[in-house]
Amino acid sequence: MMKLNVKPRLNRSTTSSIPPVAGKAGAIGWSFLTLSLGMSLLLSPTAYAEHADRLSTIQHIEQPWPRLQLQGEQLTSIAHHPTWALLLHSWQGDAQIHAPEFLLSAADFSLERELQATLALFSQQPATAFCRFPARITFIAQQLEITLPSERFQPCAELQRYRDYVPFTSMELVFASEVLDSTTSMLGHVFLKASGVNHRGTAVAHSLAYFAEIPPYNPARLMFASTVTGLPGYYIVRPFATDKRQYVQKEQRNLWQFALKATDAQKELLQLHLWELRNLDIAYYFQSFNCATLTLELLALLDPAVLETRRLFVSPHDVVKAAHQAELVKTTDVLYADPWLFAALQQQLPSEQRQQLDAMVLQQVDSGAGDNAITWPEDIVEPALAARYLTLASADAQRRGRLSAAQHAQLLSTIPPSAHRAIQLEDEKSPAKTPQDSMLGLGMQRIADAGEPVWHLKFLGSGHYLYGDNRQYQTESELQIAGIALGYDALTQRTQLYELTLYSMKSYVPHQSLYPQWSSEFYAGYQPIVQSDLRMDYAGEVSGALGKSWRWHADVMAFVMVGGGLSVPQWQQSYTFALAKTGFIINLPANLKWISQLEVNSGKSQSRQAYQEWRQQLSWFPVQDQALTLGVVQLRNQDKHIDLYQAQWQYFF
Amino acid sequence: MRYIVLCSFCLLVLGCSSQHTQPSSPSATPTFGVSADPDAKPVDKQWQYQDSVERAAHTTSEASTAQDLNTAATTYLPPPHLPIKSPASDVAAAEPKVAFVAGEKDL
Repeated sequence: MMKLNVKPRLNRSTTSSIPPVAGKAGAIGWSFLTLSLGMSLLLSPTAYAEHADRLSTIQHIEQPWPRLQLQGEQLTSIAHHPTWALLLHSWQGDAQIHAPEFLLSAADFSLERELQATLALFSQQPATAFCRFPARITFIAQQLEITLPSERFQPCAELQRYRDYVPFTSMELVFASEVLDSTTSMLGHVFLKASGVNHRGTAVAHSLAYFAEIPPYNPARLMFASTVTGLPGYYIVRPFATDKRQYVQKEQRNLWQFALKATDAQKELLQLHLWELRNLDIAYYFQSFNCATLTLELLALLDPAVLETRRLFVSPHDVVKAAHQAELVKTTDVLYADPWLFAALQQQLPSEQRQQLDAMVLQQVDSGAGDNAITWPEDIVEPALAARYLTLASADAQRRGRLSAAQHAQLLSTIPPSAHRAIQLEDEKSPAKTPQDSMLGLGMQRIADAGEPVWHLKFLGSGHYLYGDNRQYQTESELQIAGIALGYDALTQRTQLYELTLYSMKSYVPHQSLYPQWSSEFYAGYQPIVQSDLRMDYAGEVSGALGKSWRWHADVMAFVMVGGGLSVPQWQQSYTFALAKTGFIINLPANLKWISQLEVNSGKSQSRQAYQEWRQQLSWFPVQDQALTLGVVQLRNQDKHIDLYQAQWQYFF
Repeated sequence: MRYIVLCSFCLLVLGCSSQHTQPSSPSATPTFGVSADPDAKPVDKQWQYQDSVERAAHTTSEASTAQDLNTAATTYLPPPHLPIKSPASDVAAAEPKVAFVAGEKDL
């Protein structure tokens, strides 16, 4: 016989909010209240009124709940309904959230058994079942076309408080842009946002997000937990202002807010379902159950079609794309962090207007106590953009101590009220338009004047390349997580590991006078290195570089980097090396991209012989998820030089 | 080599996890989100409701936090932080006027 855990370990707050109901305890309570009511009639009208209120409350609790009974095909049908699987976060029949507070059949989970267990709990303790699993009960009742009592939330004080304070009038999917100098922030972050007017009449907005708790610093334990046993994870609700401040102000990341299409019933079901996730330990697995995975499953409650995009690894970009593909997105708003906004304004405002605005700030700085003669230029074409530009430039001057708060305020007062409005940036980037982040590639490399080429088969778990289509990213960058390439040498007819990238990133953030930024690189993996005869060997490597990048034009960037690293050709051999590189990146018409780079390296092999590498790469992006890259690399040391020709086709999925 | 591989992977995992924590938490450093305090809990698991007076009892800066939270929803949002509309957007007005909570503890 199936073993059911019909007394789930409820969280403390929920348990305490549920009064005793049903059965003998309920009858005793009723008798006691009847007696109390009779006694109270002898006291005073006020006391009667109080008891009447209490009686009314109890009557609601005692209000009969409908019987939810399922048998045979009906039970099977509902158990295999996509929404039921989503409410249980079951993927391909397996449970992903194993907390016994959430899964009544955790010991022997199946969709049917969990449905039976939920029904069994509801039949015994309907109020307890509803207060703990309001979305499940609501869904089952809807399927049976049974109306639940209108006062069904009465016994659930904590749930009711949540509904009062966290309205779901409108819903948004929020994407926090990549942080280019942080390992996983390069993937971005995604969460839901619910907005509306709460029961106090106040407009509020809440973030609904999944977080993992990092154990004390212990790399081995952390590595094992995040990929094998899982890290403790929690779904939390908190004011959106907290996240807005964190991401936009502190981390200077842009927030994309995608307003979602949803019916009232869908929003209510999602609202109730999130309550079911409260206080649960939801195990976090980086590769299979992360914030993007859970958010995608929650989105599926609005439209199951988004799950069609679920593949090997779900990233925040994937969730945004899935929402767009399922046509769930109504509108898009972007909250820009100051550096990105200023960079965009610099690109979009005519240089003459920028000079006028800069002159206003300069005039105010020179005025000392403030200059009342400063006026808003009459010929400003884009007043809203100019107002933002002046606000940022003046704030920067204040931050540097060149303007007082009063001067800053005085300068802003010159902006006409009509300029204070939402702005629209041209060429707005979107996480929905980036290529997919897993890649399969086929390439070849041939040494000039040599015989047969070396063929490569490449796979990238997650990320993108510097030579890829990065026009929809904030800036030029590269991220490689779990990349592997096998090489087949047609001359020797040998196949061997050509490259194994554990983690690689390049972040070329443009330097701006108002917002100085560093560019950086890091590599950890196994890749070909140049030997003294300019032939290739293979070595483990950890390296990094720091430098500056400049955006000369919307499509032209230049960079200078200096760094070093450790090369390990064999187990007992390791060599340090230094490097310096410079180059430029140009996005050309017809979906072409050209990267030219010169690197000077002190040498990674045993000979420690310095060499220069001059690399030219031309990429073509015929469609969003495919690319063809051609390259010419010239290697030169003090003795000789060789030329390499490269070609690679990439398919992103 | 093995140490390099191990350390690299550790850095990767640490960094990955930091994405899902709160880097500004007092117990978590911004870089890789690794807690320096073994007993610290980077994630505040308590659900927090905006405009909720009751929340003051659970915070370390009760009075100011509660006051800020209650006034946050009606605080005027300065122009630089207004949402930027996409070409298709027509609901900028639907964005609740939520301002930064100045007195709130550093989460």
